[in-house]
Amino acid sequence: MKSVDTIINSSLPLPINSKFKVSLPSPLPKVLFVSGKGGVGKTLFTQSLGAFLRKEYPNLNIILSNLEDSFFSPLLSVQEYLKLRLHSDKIAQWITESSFFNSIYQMTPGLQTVCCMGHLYFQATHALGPTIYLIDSPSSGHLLSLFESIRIFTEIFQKGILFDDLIKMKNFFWNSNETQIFLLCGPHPIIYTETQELMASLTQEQGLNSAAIFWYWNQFLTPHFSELEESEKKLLPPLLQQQLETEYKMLEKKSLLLKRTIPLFFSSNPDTLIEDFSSCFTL
Amino acid sequence: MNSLAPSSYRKEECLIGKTPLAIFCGTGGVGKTSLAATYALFLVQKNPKKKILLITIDPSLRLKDFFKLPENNPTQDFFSLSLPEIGNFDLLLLQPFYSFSKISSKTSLEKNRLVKLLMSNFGGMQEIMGMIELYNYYSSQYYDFIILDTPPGKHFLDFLNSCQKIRKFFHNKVFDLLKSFSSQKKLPIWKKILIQGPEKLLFYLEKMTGEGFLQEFLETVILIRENYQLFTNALEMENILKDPNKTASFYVTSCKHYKADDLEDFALKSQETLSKNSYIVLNRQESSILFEQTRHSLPPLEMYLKYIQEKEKNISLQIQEKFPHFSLLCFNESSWHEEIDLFIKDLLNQWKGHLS
Repeated sequence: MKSVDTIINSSLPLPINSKFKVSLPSPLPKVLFVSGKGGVGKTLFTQSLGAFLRKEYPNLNIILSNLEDSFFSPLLSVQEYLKLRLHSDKIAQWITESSFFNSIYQMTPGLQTVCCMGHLYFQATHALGPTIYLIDSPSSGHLLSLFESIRIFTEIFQKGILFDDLIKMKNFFWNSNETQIFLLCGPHPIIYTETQELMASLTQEQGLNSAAIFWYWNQFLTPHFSELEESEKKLLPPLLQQQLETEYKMLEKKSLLLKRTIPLFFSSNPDTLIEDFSSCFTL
Repeated sequence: MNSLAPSSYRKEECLIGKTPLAIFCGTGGVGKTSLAATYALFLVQKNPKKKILLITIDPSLRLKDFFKLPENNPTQDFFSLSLPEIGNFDLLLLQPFYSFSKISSKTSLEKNRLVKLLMSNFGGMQEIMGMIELYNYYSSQYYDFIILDTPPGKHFLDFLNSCQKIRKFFHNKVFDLLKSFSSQKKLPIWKKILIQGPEKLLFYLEKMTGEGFLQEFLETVILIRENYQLFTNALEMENILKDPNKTASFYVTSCKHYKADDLEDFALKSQETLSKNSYIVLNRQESSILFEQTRHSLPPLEMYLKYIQEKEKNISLQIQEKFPHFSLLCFNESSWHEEIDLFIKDLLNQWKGHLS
């Protein structure tokens, strides 16, 4: 997993305002995707959420991944899967090691994606003991491609063992008890629009249940300036005033969701960054 | 305007604005699309008689908002625009399947069921189609300048890897083997392989994929192979991207989103795939504007100002130290919260500040 410490370069802390607590849905699903437009803080959020859950649920097995790290070696996974289904180690190995399969695999990103999802499905449904998979998933378009890949390959095969297994995956990833999505929205109108579009695509095009999707408002400046009087706010530099106004408008639309607002946050110490951030969560 | 204009940036060596091709890379949320678009506008304004094309492969098609384009026609991907006080240019909003249909209209590829499915907008083919489209427009020699906004990608390097992927796919001997099977006309392809290959394997494969799929799949692969030129012509882009007189590339990041790891990945990949005419753009700097605008001292403001100033300074220094072979361009935060035209104008002015 990519380290988050390189994000932070300031020796000055910008502390979390303890009045703002981020609440989590209950019960937690087996697989949780954290997504949103690039740069909204998915990596730090996911790692901090992982740290929080580890503290709160010592018996819960928490697995963090961004689908690109060593947890996901889809090719090995494909081999395992073929071995299971074809009852032959040799044939499975022959297929996955053939240059023919490899070049098709390289050229077809959708195939790689569906293999990743297959691997995740298999792991999540065969986990020993209570387990949650926190997936720091790629940004907007690519969260869609995760779900789209299952749809595409179901349509490609139409029957057979792979088709049957894809249907099982569909039942799992489209079930809000098993799979949930956290959408992080940042404090900028473009990000807001894109998050809304992503939400619409997930629910309308992919047919996901909107009850499985939760919005979080990340990197907001508002909490830092929440103690100022209205008259004092007018004394702020116009660039900041504009920023706060924009945030306010976005939050007003979803006033109930204030409990899912996270202040722009930096720790002076990269070593305690995740721990500090995790203190903003509550159950 | 830019208090942090670094010393490594020397104008006399600058080829920006002169190369026929400019590529904008970077992670999402840093203003890559806005910078690519305003750079294009800068060229339009500066070269009123030249033909200019702006391409975006961003699957979210953010440029639609930028130029206030209508949402009602999802199949329209090409627009000829005319902006007051700026000029005329063309805009391509890349949609993989639509592009593919145009390119392959003379072949039967576009009618193939599997190809159609894999080419859907979120099927993951944007990068490869982007490279092919880029090559087609570039080689047509119709445009004097082409500006490309790459997708943030599963990884933003996917686009730069696409030539390699095409090469791997087509330079594979297995395809020739398949072709030789397909030339024996009478038997279905899978049966021909069955005769020569391990019978059990194909029996099991077909059990996995469902009856009839293998036949369809092999036919598709052969069809793609027969039309390999649609894809392999684009490999010429490798040379064009590496030529400093032809391509300038910009890696866009911002202080809020700066990740040293990503920049290192880019620096490595760019040595392999891009010309030396490469720039790092540090976008959305706030501190100089905030200091300029500050009239009153308030505790939370003080804290924020100090924080943002130190952070911007540190990142700028770190980039120059770690990546001395790149020139650094700094851009100030510009908000389009109220009026997009003002936002465009501001970024355009910042380009002018750097380049004229």
